[in-house]
Amino acid sequence: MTALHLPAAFTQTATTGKTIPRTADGKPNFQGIWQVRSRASYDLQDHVARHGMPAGRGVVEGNEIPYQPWAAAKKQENFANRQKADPLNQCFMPGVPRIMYMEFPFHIFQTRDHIAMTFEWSQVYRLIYTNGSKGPEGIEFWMGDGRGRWEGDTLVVNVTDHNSKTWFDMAGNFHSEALRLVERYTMLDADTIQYEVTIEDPKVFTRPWKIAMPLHRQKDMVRILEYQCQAEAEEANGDFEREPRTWYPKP
Amino acid sequence: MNKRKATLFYLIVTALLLLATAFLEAQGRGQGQGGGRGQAPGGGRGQAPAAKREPIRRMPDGKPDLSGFYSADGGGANYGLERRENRDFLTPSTRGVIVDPADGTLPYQPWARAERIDRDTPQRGYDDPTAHCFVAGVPRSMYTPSPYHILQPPGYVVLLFERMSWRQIPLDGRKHLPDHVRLWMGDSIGRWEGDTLVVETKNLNGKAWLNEVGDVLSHAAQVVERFTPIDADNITYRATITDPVVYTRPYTIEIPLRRQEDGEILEVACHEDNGDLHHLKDVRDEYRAQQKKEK
Repeated sequence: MTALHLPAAFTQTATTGKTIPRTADGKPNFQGIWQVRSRASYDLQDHVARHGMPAGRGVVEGNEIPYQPWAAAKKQENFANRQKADPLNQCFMPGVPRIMYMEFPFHIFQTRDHIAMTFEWSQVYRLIYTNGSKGPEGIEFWMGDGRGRWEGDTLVVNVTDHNSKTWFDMAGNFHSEALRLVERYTMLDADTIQYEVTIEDPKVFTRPWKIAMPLHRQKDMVRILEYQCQAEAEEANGDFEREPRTWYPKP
Repeated sequence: MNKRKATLFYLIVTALLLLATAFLEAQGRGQGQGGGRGQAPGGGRGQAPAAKREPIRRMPDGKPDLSGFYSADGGGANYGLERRENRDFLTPSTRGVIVDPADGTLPYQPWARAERIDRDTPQRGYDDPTAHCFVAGVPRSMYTPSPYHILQPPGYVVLLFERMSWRQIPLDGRKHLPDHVRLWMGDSIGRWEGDTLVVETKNLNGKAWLNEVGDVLSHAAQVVERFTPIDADNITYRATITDPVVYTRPYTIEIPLRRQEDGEILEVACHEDNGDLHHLKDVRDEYRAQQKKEK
């Protein structure tokens, strides 16, 4: 990999010296509404445009995802079948990190012991414990189990206990249940969080790899709203029947 | 197996599941009434030994600290707000959670009472939004038999429900969303009245039911909830529902909420694991086919 391939986000240093908001106990204060502006949700790598998929710059360090040979073939298959095979098309939970860079806003709430993230997309949430507690053993989660700690002004979250059913993006990039993530959240200024993830899965990849992108504060947004994926799908296809006496707007 | 037999089979399976649920609910209620603090209803995860009541926990600013892992002692509210005992083989008894009007009866308009009775038939089971794993709405999310985590970050009270949905309640005195923005969970705004958190919810889309038997709520509903902590681990929850489309007057339900020390919320992948919905659809379709034949 060469420096030329590094996305712009990587060239910034973790601490810029700018003033950032802080909580009562002096930690960086992430509370607020955030959203990416990247095209990572379509494809983590540099990609050309296709129907329903705008062209985009990648967010992978070096632009290469180090698949094992069988997994590279599987990824190609996923890509070819993506209209049907993408778990998101069934409104299944997107998993982590995919939920973090979908084109929907999310709200971060922060207390001493927790970071909660509530997402507009299907009312999914993450509850990350920062109180030193350990997660339950032997349970797999769609959204993983997140345990965080502070390294200076960076929030570092280990996310484990994923299932093998989620994808990284619409392009069919995937992982197994052996996935382990280390997320790093660093405030560059009051309205920007640098979000970096180290991705490790010995069943699928040959080495750990890394994605990075900024999260932008949505300053013109008072609150996030709702997109109930499955409810909207079933309303549209008639599986959930309309009720003119109680619904707004009337069907 | 022909369709009729299949339907009968599904009904028997459903009946067994409901009986099991009723049994577990009864167990939970027994604990809730007799055990005192620490005997968490419903969950049973990491139970603490019984101890005497501790005073209300407080935030640095002196407001009550409501945060933690909670289960509602719903008394079967998810199967009916009114009191009903051994109504039939299929439906669990319900304690009755209505404290106003005093007779515990919902002040339904005639059309809505008729609709409620119709919803409680096997062929309408498919119409309960939670059977599709859609969110339970407000106030139902507060008494479905599934725990939730209350967080109290600066300026907010946030509720995370194990069945994957959330409520965020700002305390900054803001106004509600414009009338044309409607949400399954509505738009909630909170304020403190002494030690009671008062939450007003509007902008509901009227798609949620109040429970499995189909107690009715519409888009016109306004819900005012009162969370009153009575000690370190117990909250008295009241919700007053004003809905002029469905009811003749406002009414109030009351449900105890109990905190469990060190409880951690898990993840219920309801929709992702929803293998049973087509059985309910089969029952409905069978009924509709029968109706068509009789015409």
